[in-house]
Amino acid sequence: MMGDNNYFPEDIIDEEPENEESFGYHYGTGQYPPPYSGIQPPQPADSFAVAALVIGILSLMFAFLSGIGGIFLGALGIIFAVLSRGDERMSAQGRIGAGLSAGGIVLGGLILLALVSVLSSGAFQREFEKELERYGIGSELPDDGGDDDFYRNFMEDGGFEDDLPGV
Amino acid sequence: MKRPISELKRRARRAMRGRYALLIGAALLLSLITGMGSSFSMSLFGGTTKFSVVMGQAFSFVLSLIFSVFSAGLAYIYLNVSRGRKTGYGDLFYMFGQHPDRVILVSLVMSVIQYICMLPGLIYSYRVSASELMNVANFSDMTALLRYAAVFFVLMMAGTVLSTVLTLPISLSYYLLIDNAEMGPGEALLGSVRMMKGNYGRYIYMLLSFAGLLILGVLSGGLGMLWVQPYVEVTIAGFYRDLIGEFDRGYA
Repeated sequence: MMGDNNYFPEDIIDEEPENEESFGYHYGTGQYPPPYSGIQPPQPADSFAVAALVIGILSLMFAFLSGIGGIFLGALGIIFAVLSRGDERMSAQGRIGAGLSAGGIVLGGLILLALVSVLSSGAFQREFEKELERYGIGSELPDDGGDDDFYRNFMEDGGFEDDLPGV
Repeated sequence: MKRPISELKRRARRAMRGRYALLIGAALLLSLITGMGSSFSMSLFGGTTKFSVVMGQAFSFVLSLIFSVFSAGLAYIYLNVSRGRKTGYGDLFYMFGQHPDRVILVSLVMSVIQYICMLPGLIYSYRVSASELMNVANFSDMTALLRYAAVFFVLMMAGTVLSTVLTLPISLSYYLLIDNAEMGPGEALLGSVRMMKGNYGRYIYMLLSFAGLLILGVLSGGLGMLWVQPYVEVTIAGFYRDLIGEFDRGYA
């Protein structure tokens, strides 16, 4: 049963808190905010909410570039948006950041899927093999020693001519 | 009064404000220490012979017991942050001055349970022959690679779930040792079992409520875990404080 056990450490009584915010007037301390002075102090921007917003924008940008970058940054943006909530509800910046980050993840996922399906398609692989053959990287190398024999020249320049097929 | 999990999480978020650098830094420092220990173990017993495998496992086990004192120190930092108390990197070493043998004995019980649960997976990984591993490494036999990975993954996952369930009742032992300098390891283990009685559902629900964030942490390449892990741990510290009735006595 909670509350009625003997494990309560008595040494924490009268301990001065370091983090004033956590012991402020917002919760259960019986203290109240200073009286209303007529001027509302500006709300300090929560660093997590700002980070979520910036990362959310970046996640959308990187989603277009690579897909995986959108997922990576989007996940981080949502984490920051969640942590930006303190006692209060998520700020507008945090909410927008979370939305953009979620968009980054979805977009990144879709682009990654599209990329994988294109790379694994037969047409792409045939084109890829053609390109490889053009540079002499295939099961058999052309032995004409022409100027476009990039692979052979590269291997010979590097001193790896023994590793060339048929040598 | 049992606080709802959402309130414990809210309290954790509030307590962590402005203290993430310490929370992340302390966790990274502990990872660095344990990483260095693992490297040392690998350099001493890195071979594939039966002797070096057994010795390597035994050495890692002993090291993990010593490192558990640092883990308890990290738990002390989380508890202090939850309480809004002053804390710092030096508190990682706090339990070395509080009869560390108590922590090591509690950790021994936890580690034995975890090792027994992981044993099938570990034995499987060592039983795969060298020639099979060569094939796997060369990707020449994709079926063997997939079979090896699938069986290993299933065994390790089953072991992780089983060890989590079995260590659930004693999961608050470190906090009891931190708060009660004179408490013995057996008393701490029994105390945790007693405290957790009737609260398993709430505790599991609390852990599962972090599933989404943990998945996001993995999706972010592990970087997000730097923020998620302290959030989980400070909430667990809050759960412990709720069970000992600290909030009922007016502490924030």
